[in-house]
Amino acid sequence: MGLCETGSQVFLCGDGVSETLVENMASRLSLASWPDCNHPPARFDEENAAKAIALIANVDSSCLARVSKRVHCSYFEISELDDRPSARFIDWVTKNGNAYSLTTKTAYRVPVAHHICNGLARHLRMSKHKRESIELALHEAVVNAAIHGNLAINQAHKNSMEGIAEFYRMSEERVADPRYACLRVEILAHWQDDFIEFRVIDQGPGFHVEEENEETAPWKGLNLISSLADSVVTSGGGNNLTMKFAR
Amino acid sequence: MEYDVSISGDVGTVTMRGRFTFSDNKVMRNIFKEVVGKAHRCVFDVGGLEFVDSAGLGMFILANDTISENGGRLSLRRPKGQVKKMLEITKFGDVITIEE
Repeated sequence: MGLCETGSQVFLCGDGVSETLVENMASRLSLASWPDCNHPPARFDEENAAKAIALIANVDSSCLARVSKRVHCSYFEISELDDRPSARFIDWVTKNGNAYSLTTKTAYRVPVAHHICNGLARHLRMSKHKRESIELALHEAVVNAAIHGNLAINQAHKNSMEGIAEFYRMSEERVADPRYACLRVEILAHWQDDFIEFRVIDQGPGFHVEEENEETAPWKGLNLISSLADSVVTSGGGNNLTMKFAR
Repeated sequence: MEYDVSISGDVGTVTMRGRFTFSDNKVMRNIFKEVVGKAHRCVFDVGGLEFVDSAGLGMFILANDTISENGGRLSLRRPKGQVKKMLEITKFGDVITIEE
């Protein structure tokens, strides 16, 4: 059976959250559950493509490394503003593939793309070369969504070390503010035998494509992503970026 | 990212390890103070780097601009894996000397 089968049963589990919270949330969302993401029950049949959504909190790199190891594991970070995955998120996991919903604080501080790619590469056929391209493009998209999207910091000031220092002072200030830090970066993954696609969605004010294109250096922003992916589409006023890679 | 610095005559060598990304701006500012602002020739040995992103390349550009303004020269040495690929994709060798 393929790894991206549709209509699989979705389980709710947890990493770093209480058993009660997982059980209560599963009941509200009408999902089966097991409390500890790292100890799945026998009925969770990895070969038959059962899927899991891990509720995670106080996320650090080791937490994402753990949950990324589970086959077909999506994750949703609980924040002080938002404690449950939306129906749209669950629907994506059920019908399309994996989904990852993280706070801006986590997207800013943790190498999210690295862990997601580690997880996917355990189960999907992917050459080292392709995996490197995907991780780099996904990293750039997630960092852009966090910094230029949700933290709403523009590209200015980056032409000197003093400017960069100011840029990161502003980033740190905003990522410490829950109004910015709790905005979400959502990554939706979908694949078939011949391609893998990622949508990266933020909740920031968006950007003007013409403005972004002024950055002509090949290592910057969308230019780099475009040179790595087979297709790139932005929509939603710059809040939604879709990248597709041949496998 | 972790790094070591050695200075021999007017050549400063920065040996870098790990991941060099946007979050390393503080580290790079220290490297500027320790090496880039002082040495006539500066070598970044990137053989131990596993990953570099666009912000990392942007900081190499700034280091190169700074040392060039002082009449010096900067090079990247021994890129491997993802780092080598990133430098190739972005044609970084057109801007900064790369020593294999």
